[in-house]
Amino acid sequence: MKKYLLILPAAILLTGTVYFLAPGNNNSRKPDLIVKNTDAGNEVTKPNDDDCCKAITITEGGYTDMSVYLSNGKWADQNGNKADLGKFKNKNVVLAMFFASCQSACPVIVNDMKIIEKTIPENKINNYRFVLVSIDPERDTPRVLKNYARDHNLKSPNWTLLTGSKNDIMELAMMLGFKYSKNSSGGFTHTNLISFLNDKGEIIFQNDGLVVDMGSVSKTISKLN
Amino acid sequence: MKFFLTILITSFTLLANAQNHENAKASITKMVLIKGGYYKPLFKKNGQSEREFVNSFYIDIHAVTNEQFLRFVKANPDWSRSKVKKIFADGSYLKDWQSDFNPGENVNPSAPVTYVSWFAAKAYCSWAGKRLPTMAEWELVAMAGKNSPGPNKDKKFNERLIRWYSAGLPQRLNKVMSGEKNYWGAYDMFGLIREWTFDFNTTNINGTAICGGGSAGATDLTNYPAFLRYGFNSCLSANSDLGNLGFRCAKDTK
Repeated sequence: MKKYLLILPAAILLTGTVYFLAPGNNNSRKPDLIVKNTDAGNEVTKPNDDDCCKAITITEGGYTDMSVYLSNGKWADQNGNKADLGKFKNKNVVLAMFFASCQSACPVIVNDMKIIEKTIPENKINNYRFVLVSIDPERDTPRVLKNYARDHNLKSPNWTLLTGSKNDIMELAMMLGFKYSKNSSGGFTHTNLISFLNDKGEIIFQNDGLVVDMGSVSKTISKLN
Repeated sequence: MKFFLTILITSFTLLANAQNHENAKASITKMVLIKGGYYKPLFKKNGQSEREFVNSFYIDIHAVTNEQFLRFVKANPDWSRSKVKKIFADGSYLKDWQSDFNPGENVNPSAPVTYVSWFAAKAYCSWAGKRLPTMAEWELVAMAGKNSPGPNKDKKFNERLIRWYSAGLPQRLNKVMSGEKNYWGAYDMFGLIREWTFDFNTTNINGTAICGGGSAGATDLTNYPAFLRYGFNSCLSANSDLGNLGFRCAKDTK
């Protein structure tokens, strides 16, 4: 008899655990659950699409309604560190989407960004960050991005190269109005877009096309701190 | 001994019931398996072959309804009309609903939810453990006829499509699954609403805009309904919210 007295609480505990761990039961979580990225550790975690019915709360950080940093995207930089786009808050950001093996348009875009970098007055350069986001996560691992940065002389901390999940890449592209599509030769067809974000992460100017409108770029820079 | 066993069995039974109740609350739409196959894009992209292979996947048999979307909004108040961020949805988001958590009398709970942006559609699917279908996947499902995976070359079918695509928005949307199901078991691919896809804006990236029409670069000039579809897609931004635009979700087969 004594044995059963022990088994009963154990069984109740077990059923309780099964109940709370059961899939599809996540609805009972508080709806205001905030999913936040932590910068700790070097491990790059992929968002789990199978995690059904969890409350998806936009990363809170006091961002304005039109801030690109409202994106929930999880990124890894060229050093393999986790990177939240919000870390660029309070900096002016010049951002483009690209892929490392791109032969035609992307080197031009990167070169254009370097030209833009040179037009920024020396006393303001530390207020800027230059960000390249890969659209080719399968090939552009942090190591590939690191080599790319070395080969093109893109030095940290001014330059950050990011890679992420296909899902997050598409979301960022949609926020920016950048269009891309994989083609059968293994590359991508894409638009050529350089975006200027202010210290709040709002898009304040975009250069669409391979020719940089330096007049508008200078005007934008003169408006920024 | 019997007593304890009874308690154990009863507690498991109660638990199973609670679990069923939770599933009903999530109300995940039934999905059908779409066998992979070739899809011929209407427009030839740079360096792209004429046919594109699409892997097998699952797709919802109907579009997400107002009732289902309401559950999502209740669980994720950041996606309610008054709280949604402008970058994710323009001013028309859920504008036919009476208030944040009440679609109201004018909206049929079983009709597809519309006035939802691409970002909202994507967030819903992710919440449901699914994703948005790609355009190639959606087109693969849509090209099926009633009795074959297609492509459907029935003239009358195409005429009906053209009539529907050129008609205006009805006063009140019908409920989902009121039409015929196609070969795969998917309902309302046409005739009810237009639907978001994951990569809706990638048809004609570097070419001239075909917003509203045009045929440059087309591979099949007889496919007029597809022109109307692509023309419509290239007019959209991801934060657009329109009365005839909703979505359904898809899932990998793994």
